Amino acid sequence: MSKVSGDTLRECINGVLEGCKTKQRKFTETVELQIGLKNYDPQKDKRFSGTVKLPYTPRPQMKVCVLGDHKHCEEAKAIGVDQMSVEDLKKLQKNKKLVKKLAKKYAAFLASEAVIKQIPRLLGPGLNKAGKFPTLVSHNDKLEDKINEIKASIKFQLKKVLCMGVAIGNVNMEDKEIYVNTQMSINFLVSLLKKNWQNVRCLYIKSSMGSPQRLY
Amino acid sequence: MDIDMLNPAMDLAKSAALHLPGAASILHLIDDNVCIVAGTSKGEVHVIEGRESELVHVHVMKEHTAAIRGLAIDGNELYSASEDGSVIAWDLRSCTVTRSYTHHGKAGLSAVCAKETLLAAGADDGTLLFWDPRSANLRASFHDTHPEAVTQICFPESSNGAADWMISSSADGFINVMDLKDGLDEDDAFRAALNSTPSVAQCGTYGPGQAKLWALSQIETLHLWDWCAAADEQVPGGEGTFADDLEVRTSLAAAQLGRKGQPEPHALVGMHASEGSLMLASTSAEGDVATFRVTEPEAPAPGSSPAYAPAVNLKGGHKDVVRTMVWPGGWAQRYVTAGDDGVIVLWQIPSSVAAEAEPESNPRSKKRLRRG
Repeated sequence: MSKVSGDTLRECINGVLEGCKTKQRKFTETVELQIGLKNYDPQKDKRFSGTVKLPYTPRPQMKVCVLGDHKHCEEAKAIGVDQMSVEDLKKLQKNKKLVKKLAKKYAAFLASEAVIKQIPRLLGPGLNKAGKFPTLVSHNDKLEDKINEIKASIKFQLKKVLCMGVAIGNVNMEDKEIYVNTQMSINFLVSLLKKNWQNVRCLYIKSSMGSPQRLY
Repeated sequence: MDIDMLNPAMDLAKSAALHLPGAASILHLIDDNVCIVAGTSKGEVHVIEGRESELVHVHVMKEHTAAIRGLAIDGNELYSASEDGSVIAWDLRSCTVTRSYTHHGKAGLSAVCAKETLLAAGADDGTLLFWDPRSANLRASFHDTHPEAVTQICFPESSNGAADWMISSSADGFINVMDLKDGLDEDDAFRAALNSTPSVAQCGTYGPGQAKLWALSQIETLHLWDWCAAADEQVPGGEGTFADDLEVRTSLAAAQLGRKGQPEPHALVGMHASEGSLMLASTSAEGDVATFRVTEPEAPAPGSSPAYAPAVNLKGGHKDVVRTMVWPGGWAQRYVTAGDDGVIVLWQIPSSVAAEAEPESNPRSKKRLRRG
């Protein structure tokens, strides 16, 4: 049972979107959900993390690169996604700077079954450092679906402090889309918590440069 | 004795309990005398001896200034890794400090593993550290392998001695396989990685030649991976997991259907690979433990799930969730559990069951610990 009423959520989303209209920025602002927790001791209680796929992609601009075999490279080309073959990867010669540059250029990587086992030998641990070791994509998966799945997934992760932030949309989205994404994110977050709503101190949504709107 | 010898869905009675100041987060069973070491959130390491029907507190070792996050044993040496950023080696015969291992960073340590020639520890910032266990010299540190806290390190034995394996798991969701045979070089040692998305809480090897790996994530999903195949480009397989369960607690509850008085799975405690099978334990909110036998899917493939069969239950020993346990193995035919209530409980397997499984010659040694 959600403790954030539909009306409050709608009001807050409108507040965020209007804030962006009054002061236009030179980039597409991201809408972020910020969470404060209580009755939770990160030292003692288990830290948690979880990934949920949202119905509307919060970051459509996110860049993904396919490290593919011939078939996946062709598919990637057809849908306009960057791709690299094993030959391209060999050119990096495990050079730390080049691997770092590659890791920085993309938000996520996908690799074909025939390629993924060669990554450690070809690139070394450089992609791990960035937290971007490729996700496996097999020939049974549809490449485009897999890429959309990665783009639409958000990750909740509690670290040492009792607050978290996660991107749930952008200001170019319809308010209804942000509404659905926010509700789904909140419900998922609450399901991860040991005592559900009793662990939630506060919830805010805000755009990158806008002022925060309190949901709970 | 193999856990398989136990009657399925049998309830074991608690045979002894001991209160500790501070909840034990890690337990380790040392030898056939059922010597238990427990690391607590207060930074103390307790040495406890399990007798027939009692637990005797032998010694408390206080040297760390923050919570103990990892324990490892090699021979008579116990290694404790702590949030204070150091590993301390203790001589278990005398319960004294033998060496202390430090590093240049400030990060606390969250995992440790030791063998004769190498001591490895993982830090909260993702660094892997390697010391010479005898001289305490820091031999190498790996900064690129994990971006976030290391949660577990293990050294699986190579079946043909051709490799010197190390597996590490982390809160970033990666499980990495390294071969340290040609030295401690981060770029050259890296052999395979599994990107299983959720943070890995625990992992371990199992099966013939320890060639497979189980991993439990912090959001209680279970993943099985053929890590040996993944680390060998010539062998097919291992590109991803071969079985996953994203709803372990629901699956366990389904396996208990139709049985009365089963402890409700509230959280997962851990897994254990015995000779014959892979076991999983869950705890109820009241601290009752249920154990399950885990079977791989008949046709392993991405998306397939393992099956569970209820095994023994450990009921009535705790008042709060159980965090850690040791399983019967070798001659230590007992379960030991520890939980948030600060109690350690010893569970005796009925002698009738144990006698059936006990071979004729008993190589039990007479090693005893000095009382402090």
